[in-house]
Amino acid sequence: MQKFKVALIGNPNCGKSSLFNQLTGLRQKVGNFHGVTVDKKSGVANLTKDIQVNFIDFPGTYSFYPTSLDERIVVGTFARPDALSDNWEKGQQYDAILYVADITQLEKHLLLFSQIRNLGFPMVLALNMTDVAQEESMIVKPDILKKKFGIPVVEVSGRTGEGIDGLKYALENVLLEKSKVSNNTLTYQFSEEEKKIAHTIQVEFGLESEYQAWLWVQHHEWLPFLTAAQRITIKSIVTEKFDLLKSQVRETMQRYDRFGPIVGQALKKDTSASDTWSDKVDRVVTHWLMGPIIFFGLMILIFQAIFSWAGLPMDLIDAGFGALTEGVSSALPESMFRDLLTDGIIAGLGGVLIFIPQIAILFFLISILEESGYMARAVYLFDNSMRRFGLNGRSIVALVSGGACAIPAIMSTRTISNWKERLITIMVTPLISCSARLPVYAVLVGFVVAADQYWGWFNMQGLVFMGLYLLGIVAALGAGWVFKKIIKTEETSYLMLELPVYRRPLIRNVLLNVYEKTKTFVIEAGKVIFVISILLWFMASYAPGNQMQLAEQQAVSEALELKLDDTERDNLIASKKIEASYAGHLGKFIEPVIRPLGFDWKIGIALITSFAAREVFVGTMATIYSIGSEAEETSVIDRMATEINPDTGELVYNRATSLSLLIFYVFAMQCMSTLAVVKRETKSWKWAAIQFVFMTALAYLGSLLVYQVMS
Amino acid sequence: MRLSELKIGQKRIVESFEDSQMGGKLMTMGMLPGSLIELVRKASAGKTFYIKVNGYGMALRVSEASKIFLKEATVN
Repeated sequence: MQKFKVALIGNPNCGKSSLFNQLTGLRQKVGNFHGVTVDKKSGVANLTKDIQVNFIDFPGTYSFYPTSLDERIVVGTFARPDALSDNWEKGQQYDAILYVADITQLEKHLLLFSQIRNLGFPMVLALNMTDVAQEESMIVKPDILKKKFGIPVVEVSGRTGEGIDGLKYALENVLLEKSKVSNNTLTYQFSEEEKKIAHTIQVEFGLESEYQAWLWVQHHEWLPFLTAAQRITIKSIVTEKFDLLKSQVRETMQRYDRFGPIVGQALKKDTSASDTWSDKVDRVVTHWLMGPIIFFGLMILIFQAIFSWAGLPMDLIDAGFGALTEGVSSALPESMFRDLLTDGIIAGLGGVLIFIPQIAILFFLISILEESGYMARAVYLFDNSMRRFGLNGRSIVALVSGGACAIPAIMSTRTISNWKERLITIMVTPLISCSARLPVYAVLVGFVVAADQYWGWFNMQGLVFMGLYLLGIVAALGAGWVFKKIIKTEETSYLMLELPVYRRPLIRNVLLNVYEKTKTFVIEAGKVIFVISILLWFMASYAPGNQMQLAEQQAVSEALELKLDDTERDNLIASKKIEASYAGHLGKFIEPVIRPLGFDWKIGIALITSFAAREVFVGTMATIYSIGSEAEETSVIDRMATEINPDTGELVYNRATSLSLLIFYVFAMQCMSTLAVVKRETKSWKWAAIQFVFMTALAYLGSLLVYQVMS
Repeated sequence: MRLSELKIGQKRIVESFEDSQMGGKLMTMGMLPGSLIELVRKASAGKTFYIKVNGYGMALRVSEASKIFLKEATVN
């Protein structure tokens, strides 16, 4: 079997992912592009039974003149002198390029095409969305394009799968060098000055073509493969007074002038249809007043859907892990290893997997909004309001995703080209209440207001819930506003966003997206939560010296005295043990600090364990209050409701303490996995540390204020 | 006139860009001197523009629109 590697390239909204999914189906994986944290999707497809192709899906890109990190990948890859040769790190080179263009907007999709074509790579041009072209009764003559561009041109539909076989055949011919790639017809005609520079660079570094040398000139500041010495050489040849920007505009204009008439010959379309159904939808959806109302309505629907659909699968996962713990406990003899397995590893895994239903549902709905083209409208509607808070319209996608989980939300900020706006989005997104805060809210809200309290028509608990979510949103925007004042930048911020025609979302694309995002969450968050769970298990199970044995002896004698039954005795032992453990010591150690917030050392333990992941709170409470770790949420609540402060004789979970604790969970950065992702995305621990400090400070001050005012 | 001065429903032709960095980016997205522009509607109290460039939708800030010079769309 022969194996090849093909790059899949095209403009944003060209339908590239549909085509990629159509070609590769489930045989996909996600990695990183060399040296940068931009997702690289790759997938395998068989062209014939002897030819296997690994497709690499590049981020949607407009041209060789990138404006965001994502867009840099294409030119960063193909300006390499060895992009197609075997010398570049084994297995990295590409054998051909499959360029995807939306046939309904062919002209503007050909700019990047003509630039890549200029480098002389083996290529196939796929004219995508033929289904739409047929609907709009366009007349397409691919032969003209084939002749003018000197490469195979295929009509295809990523949605219906029409033309896929023809595409595979064309690709096979290019890969086996059966079809001739004729001489370039889309070479850029340099100005005299440009030519001199390009030629000098080409000779200096022994490059394939003048155009490749030209890309080095244009991007010598950042191209990742250039050495410092090469950069200096280029700088000495390209003098300061040479206007790179101007020649970039010159190149773009010239290219459009060249392929514009060709497109005119090859395509005939009816331009009289002015008001499409997409325009009609937009008249309502992007209306200045109706638009925001529809957006918030959609958000409420989404969160409603998450809560009503995720309940059952979450209960099933919970029950499954409960059964697993019990099974392991009874199958293995009592030992340290068994405890590690049940209380550390299985509990840790369960803590991650329980969130899959909520996250999957949220991403399912968000990808429907993205696929249909709605998200671009939300960006249009909210760009201006977001900007006041140091954010970008594109931040809305991250903020909405943050309602499920901050990890994928932070990863979605890569489309924001302005570094300051992207950074602020990353910094404030974790303030949006994610699904991990829910179980904590659910336990504590009952201590603030009773379940049957109503305020007019509204259930008070529901209102408190909503208040907590709103508080998170307000905090995120407020923090953004502060960061905007603090962080200085010279970089200009742009909106300039395409508003693509609405399309019916393809269920295959949506499901693959959900699968991929959920997998990322499980792996990224899972790694950290797993390790921390084991660490916490250790801290809760071990104590300095022989304090564990002493605590156990004390509990046993107390139990005898009080004539407790076996379960009660075991629970008392567990409770005494955790008090004596390292975790208990740590809880008592921080007690003076958290006392002003209304927290005792037991809550202190829960706060510490929650720094791994918030949802650990309920389990920790169960252990501390000695009701066994398999306890239901309701039994934890019942036990907490009767907890009395030994010093004052009052209930511990009174309204002030409970609300203070809720506020703490709204603000605090209690998620190691998010910090790890922030470090990865900002490329330094600095911002992760700042985020940790500011959120914790906000939590502390917020709780302090609430408790001091209320008690 | 500048794109920022365009009224809703009006159509004009792009003449030039004031800021060539922004112009470069717009050109890669298909807005070139000679492109037909129509202002479809505005959002955020006139701060964000929904325009059509040769019939394709695009969102712009008013600050971006003010750097795009337009001319009368007379002959085709």
